[in-house]
Amino acid sequence: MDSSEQQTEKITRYIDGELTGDELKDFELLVNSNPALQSELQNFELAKKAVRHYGLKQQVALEHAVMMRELRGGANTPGGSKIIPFLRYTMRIAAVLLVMIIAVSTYEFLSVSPKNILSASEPYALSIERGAEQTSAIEKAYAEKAYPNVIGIFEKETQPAAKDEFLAGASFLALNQPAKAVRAFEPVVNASTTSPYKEDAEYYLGLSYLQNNEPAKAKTILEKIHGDKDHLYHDRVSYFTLLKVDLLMLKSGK
Amino acid sequence: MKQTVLNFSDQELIETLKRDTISSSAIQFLYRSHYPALSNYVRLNRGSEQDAEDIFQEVIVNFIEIVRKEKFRGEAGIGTFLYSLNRFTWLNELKRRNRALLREEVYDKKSGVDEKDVSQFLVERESKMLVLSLLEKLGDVCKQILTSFYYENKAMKEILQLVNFENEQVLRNKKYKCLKSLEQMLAANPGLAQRFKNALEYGQ
Repeated sequence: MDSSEQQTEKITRYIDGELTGDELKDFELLVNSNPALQSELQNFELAKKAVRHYGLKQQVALEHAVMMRELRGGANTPGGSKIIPFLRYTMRIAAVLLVMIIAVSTYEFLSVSPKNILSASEPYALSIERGAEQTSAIEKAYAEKAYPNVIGIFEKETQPAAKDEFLAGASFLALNQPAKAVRAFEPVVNASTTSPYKEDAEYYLGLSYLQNNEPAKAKTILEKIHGDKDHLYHDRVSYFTLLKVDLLMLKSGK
Repeated sequence: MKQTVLNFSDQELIETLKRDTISSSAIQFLYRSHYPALSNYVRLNRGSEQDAEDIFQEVIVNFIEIVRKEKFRGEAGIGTFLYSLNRFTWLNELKRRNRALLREEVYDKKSGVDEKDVSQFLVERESKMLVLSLLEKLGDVCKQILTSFYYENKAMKEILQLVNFENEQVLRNKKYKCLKSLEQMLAANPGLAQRFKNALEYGQ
């Protein structure tokens, strides 16, 4: 690596907040005495801002697609009329009719939604006594329901333990960010070594899938819990829970 | 399938949008609360459905960045502010398209925000588009690495699962090369870089 590349690497480490102590002070002194380096650093900062602007545009575009489907689904959206194939309408009507028939049979089925399945589930309650080690910062933050702080601590961890991943997942779920909760729980569930949080993570991963509009994935994991009488959350996943998930799959077509 | 729908007060929404990770629920709330009226304004003023969608997306991006820069004072309420952003953005777009005889036919006096107050946020609109086109030149892998790291705040080991690299060090090298490429493109266009910087400041 030549000196130019070394300098570039140091600039990226600086803007990523990875320089500390003397290294940071030395770099700042160097920047202050070197206009060319100042200019390069400003362009790197601007590049970082450009990436964030791009990321925000991408996120809004994704939400836009979701919301357009929802808003166009409503009646009489002004100007929102698009030609939808007859077959698609027919299938939607058939699905609605099917849901109505089920609704007549049972009120439980009619009211099913991820929200009312999830409403029976409390956010994960952390047992401070769990394990022999002292209470960590992430556990303390979670116990205080300071979910953004939990996520902040987790994101600073370069090698998070299963406990950190699990508590971050539970925090994402509490903040209604199920996709991120899924990403946090999955490593705990799929780890080659079994952690004390594995069964907790399985249950809350199932709930995250539900909230994330992925009932098929939720069903796989909830069926496993239902079929295992020794599972920590076996009592929370009844036959009727699975039936509700089935109905969700039917309603969502997933 | 029905989704969990969250409602926010203006204050709750502002606080939510200032967090490190931007909540999908907050963006969806903005759509549910304001898209019908704001898109209607564009359609009733010579815009197509696609125009209405594009303008609203731009308004939401700008609004979130204004909030995160602490430039939203909240005196007029979010709805009124968004209305003015939407109106100003659309009128600018119409001007850009060289449409003559521009007239607003409806809702002309609905805005409670001084137009000058809003215009300060929306200068240099084109520079944003030009910089985004530079970013597009980096390619999909670079875009994924950079947005995962700098926008989604993912750790390198999480990003490693999304892209095909041997290990974290190789990924780290790729990340700084990607950022360096973007930096060089900006360095080669100092005028554009300055305009883009000004645009992201949303007024001084």
